[in-house]
Amino acid sequence: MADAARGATGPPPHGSLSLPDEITIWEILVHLPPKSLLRCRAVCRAWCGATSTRRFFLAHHALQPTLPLLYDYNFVGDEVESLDIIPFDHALQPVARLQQASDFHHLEACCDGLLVLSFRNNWRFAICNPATRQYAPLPLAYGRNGEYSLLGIYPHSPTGDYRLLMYRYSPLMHDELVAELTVRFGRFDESSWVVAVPWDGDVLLLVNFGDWLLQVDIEGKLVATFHRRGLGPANLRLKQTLVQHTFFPTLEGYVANSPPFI
Amino acid sequence: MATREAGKKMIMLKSPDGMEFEVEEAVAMESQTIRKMIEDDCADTAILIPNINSKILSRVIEYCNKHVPTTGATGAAASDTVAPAALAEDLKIWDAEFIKVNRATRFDLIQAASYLNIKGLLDLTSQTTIDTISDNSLEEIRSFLSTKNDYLPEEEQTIRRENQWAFQ
Repeated sequence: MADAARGATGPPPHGSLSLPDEITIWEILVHLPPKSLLRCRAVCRAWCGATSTRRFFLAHHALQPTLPLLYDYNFVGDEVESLDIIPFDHALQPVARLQQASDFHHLEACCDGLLVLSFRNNWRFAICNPATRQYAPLPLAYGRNGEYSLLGIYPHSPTGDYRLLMYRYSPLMHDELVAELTVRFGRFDESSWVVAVPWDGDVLLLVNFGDWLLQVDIEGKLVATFHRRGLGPANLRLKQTLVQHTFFPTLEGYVANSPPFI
Repeated sequence: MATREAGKKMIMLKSPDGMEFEVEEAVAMESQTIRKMIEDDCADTAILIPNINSKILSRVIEYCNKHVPTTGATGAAASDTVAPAALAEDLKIWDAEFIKVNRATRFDLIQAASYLNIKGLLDLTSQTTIDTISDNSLEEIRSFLSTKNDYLPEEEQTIRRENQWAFQ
């Protein structure tokens, strides 16, 4: 008879109301969103130790879903008090909140859990990791009239650097979808966004109409509506990571776990 | 090795409490652990599955029977007449019923799925636990998993402070 136990450790006796640490850590905790995971470090020492290793971070990152990103201004009266970064998963729970982001311009690029934002003040960029709450301004300008835009951020494998790809700005084309939707949701604002990202084996189309964010399918049929002031789509998808990117501390103005993260 | 009608290759699985289950080899091979043993020729007559009692093992086999691919010689008729989308929908409904078990049984199924390396079953059984840990307070998580808080009060405060935003 072949014995599947040879040398291996099988599960402990059944009927218990607990799980072995090995299974809790590598089958349960490794699937948690970063915020829940960090909270769970306060459950007990074993969980804290096991979820603080680079091996765990890499396994955790590999299992994180890649989600389309939204941003959301939080108003106090008519003043923007903060900016939320929100993955599109129907719960619309923010993964990060940045304070006093009134000059926030757009979510520009995203890669390996890193997020590049642009600000109107001095036409500057900043980079952050929402999961580790690391943030640093970038020594780069996109120009007063937006003559340069950011196409993306990518890992440059020969050097191990992360690089930003810039391009010269050209005006966006108008979309025919707009006329039809204007009838139901009011005027399409010139500054509004129409965003298309690959999602769930299909394409996700998000249209910003005043205080409405509309999700439409490829035929232009309305799928879902979200009514929230200041909510807008970004042409990006975020896969969160707790992996420590080593370039952060080398950037001037680098901070961790402090403002502008709230 | 035992064979049944239509020449399907059969495998005997034994639980530690002495129950024997005769299953098609294709069904048993839904478990990557068993697949490896069969491929390595370690499964001559019967395979003892340690630490998984007959009650849990029979549920695991039930899951594998339902999820074994129906294409090829064994189930050509089914896949010819039913659209793949309808099959997937049917499986989803079946899974939802299957997982309506108490916490102890679910934990046993998670451990069995992990040991036997059955990805679909592991995903299905662990999801509710993942959701519970995601949504509840530390005290609720500890009680849910019978985990003891071994921090000194000031240590726990330090850990909480380091990750304060996660508690907001």
